[in-house]
Amino acid sequence: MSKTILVVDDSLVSRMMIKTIIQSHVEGVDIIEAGNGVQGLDKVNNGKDIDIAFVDFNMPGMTGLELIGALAEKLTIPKVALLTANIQDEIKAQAIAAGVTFMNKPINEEVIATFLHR
Amino acid sequence: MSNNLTPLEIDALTEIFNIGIGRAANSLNQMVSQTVDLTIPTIEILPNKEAKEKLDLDTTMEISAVTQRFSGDFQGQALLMFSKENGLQLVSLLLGNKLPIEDLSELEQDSLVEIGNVILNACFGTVINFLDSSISIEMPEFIQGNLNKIFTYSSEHDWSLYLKVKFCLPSENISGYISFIMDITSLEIFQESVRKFVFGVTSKALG
Repeated sequence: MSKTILVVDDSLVSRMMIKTIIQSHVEGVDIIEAGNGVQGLDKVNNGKDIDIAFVDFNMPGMTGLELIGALAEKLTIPKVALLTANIQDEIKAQAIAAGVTFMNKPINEEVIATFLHR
Repeated sequence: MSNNLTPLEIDALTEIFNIGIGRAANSLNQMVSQTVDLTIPTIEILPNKEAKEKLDLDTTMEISAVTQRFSGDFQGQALLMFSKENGLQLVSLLLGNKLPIEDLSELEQDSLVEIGNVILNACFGTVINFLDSSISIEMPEFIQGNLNKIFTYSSEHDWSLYLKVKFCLPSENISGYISFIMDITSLEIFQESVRKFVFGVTSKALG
């Protein structure tokens, strides 16, 4: 069965880079894109299951961690990664406390591929 | 002249600076053991006069700033700015709050230059690596005074690429600005580097 992956990042270029890596590692994947937290929540409102989510931390409006919290109230996403250039320990600790994988930006293909196949 | 970077190029540049400033915030976090909050960078191409107004600082306010000039593939000025009071608070934090604030003035310049050096170089390093560019960076310089003394340019009618991000240490109520101002004369070369980067990303994405 094909996987559905949610990618939320306010940078279009960043979403393109993530999508390219996902598509080269997962066949027939359905990628849902959103440019901010509100859009991300809207796009999961159709009841479709999400297998994996990649969420940027520093976005206008809702932060990535706030979005992850809001998503968790709506559905269960088995694997969630928080992507951020803000690599401070405090943000890492918040990601761990939220039960999500912390990933540094710039994104690294090997790290994303390992996460996808984990 | 109008802003002739495409939205995708602005997006790419914002993301590159976002990564650089994220690294800079991490460095500052390690220096002062405090969480650093960041805004999303804003990038615009503006006449110098407007760029100065966009710094959003009271022109009469006493500012402590560290500036580094850069030249090479593109040239301009990077600035790290605080109100004088916030600069002293940051120095105090860096030194472990062991000295009374009135004794910090002597150490202020050295400490802020060191902070500026670490922060601005984290940004420079990221931008240079992403854009595969070559620039040389001058030694950081400490300036204290009002905005007119700190933000200098040859002509207010010239245009610049202007980036601004605000950061703050919420637990200490300290905030500052990082700004990059790039001369328009070098913008063409800079744009070409940004275009190459965007082309690389889009051509991979489109397969």
